[in-house]
Amino acid sequence: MTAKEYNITVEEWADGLYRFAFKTLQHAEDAKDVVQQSFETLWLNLEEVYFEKAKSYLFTVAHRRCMDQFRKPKTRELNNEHFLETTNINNTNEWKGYLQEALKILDQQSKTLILLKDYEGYSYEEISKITTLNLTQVKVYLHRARKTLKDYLISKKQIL
Amino acid sequence: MKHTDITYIEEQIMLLVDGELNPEQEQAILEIIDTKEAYQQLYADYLSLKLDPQDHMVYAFKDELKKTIPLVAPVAAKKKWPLYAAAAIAPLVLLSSLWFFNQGQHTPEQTVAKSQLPPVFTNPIPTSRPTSTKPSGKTVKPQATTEPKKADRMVNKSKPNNTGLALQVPALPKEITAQHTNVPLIHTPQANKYDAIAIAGSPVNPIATQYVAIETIANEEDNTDFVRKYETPKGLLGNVINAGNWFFKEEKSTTIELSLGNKIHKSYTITLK
Repeated sequence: MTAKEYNITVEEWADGLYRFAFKTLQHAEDAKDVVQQSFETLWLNLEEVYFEKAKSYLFTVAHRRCMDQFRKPKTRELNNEHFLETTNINNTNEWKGYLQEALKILDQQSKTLILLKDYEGYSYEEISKITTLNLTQVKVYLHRARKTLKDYLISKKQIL
Repeated sequence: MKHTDITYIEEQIMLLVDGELNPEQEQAILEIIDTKEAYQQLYADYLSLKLDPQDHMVYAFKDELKKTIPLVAPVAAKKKWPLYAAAAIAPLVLLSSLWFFNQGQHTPEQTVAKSQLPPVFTNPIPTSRPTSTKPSGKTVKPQATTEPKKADRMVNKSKPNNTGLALQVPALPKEITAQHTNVPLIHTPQANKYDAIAIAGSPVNPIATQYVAIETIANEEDNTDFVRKYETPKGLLGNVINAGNWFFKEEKSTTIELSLGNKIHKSYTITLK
């Protein structure tokens, strides 16, 4: 990959990478750090990464950085303010707002799988490469997460 | 698992929502979904769980991530073709020069394998020639002195001279040896008519005639026979001798001994100059 292709990659995938990191970490600054670290890693390994594989490489690095962030001791509470501002639940769709809220009840791995599938449109096989899970694990964890979301939203709807 | 199993249907619906089914499988599960209202509700629920891409969330610091590409003035491409041409021509020139040099070394005058070498006369050994072909009525025994004794062969074999030649021929015409001293010589210590005949009729004939052509001529002056030997090394040995002679350009000598029981015992010394 050349420097020019690297800049094209930044322009093309920085937004998606930031969304993925932000949804995963629920913190804007941490998400920004993850994006910076991911692209820095890509720049350092520029000669070894093909331009066509840049997106998958970036999300793999970002996923690992997010896992590292979760393993760190939490010294502060999650900053949901920015998340609420950007998603603007009430104005868009009540159901989608509940859905975003429901994502918080998922474990980190399930949430990552949902984000990679729905936001980035990766296939099961691509997700398995990014998350280093096998195909069956991806399928089972993803279905389990969707079922959890469905049960949560149904119960929420019944309460309301 | 039956297609009516709710767990199987739910799994297929989730795969359909995730877009992991091929067109045939999609058609099959859609037909199943249409059969029951519960399946349709389940399909609608999972469709509603899909997250919409939030394109309004953007990363505002892209410029910090981008790297500036240094503007380097385009360097004129160096014309390296003369170097490549020289590198390609150099081995050709070297090989050609070697070939021409090799051709010069293998002129017919210097080639051992050629048959233009002058004959080398061995020592004129007096042999008994019958003065008359008419039968005399007497049994003429061959002179014992014409045939070398076994003791003489042993002496010649055990005491080779220092020059590497098996036998120096005192009666060898000097003008011949002086004229052709730069050609390999083959001297046979006890070569005579008997030996020529013996070699011709012996099992070693193919080997002997391959390297030495023997001809017996009559010397009318002193009524003796000369055994004229043409040294005509042929085949692989001749090529090896040529190659060695050309390569080392120095005098080499080697001794070849032929033995066949107790009857034939020959020792040849080949000198390369």
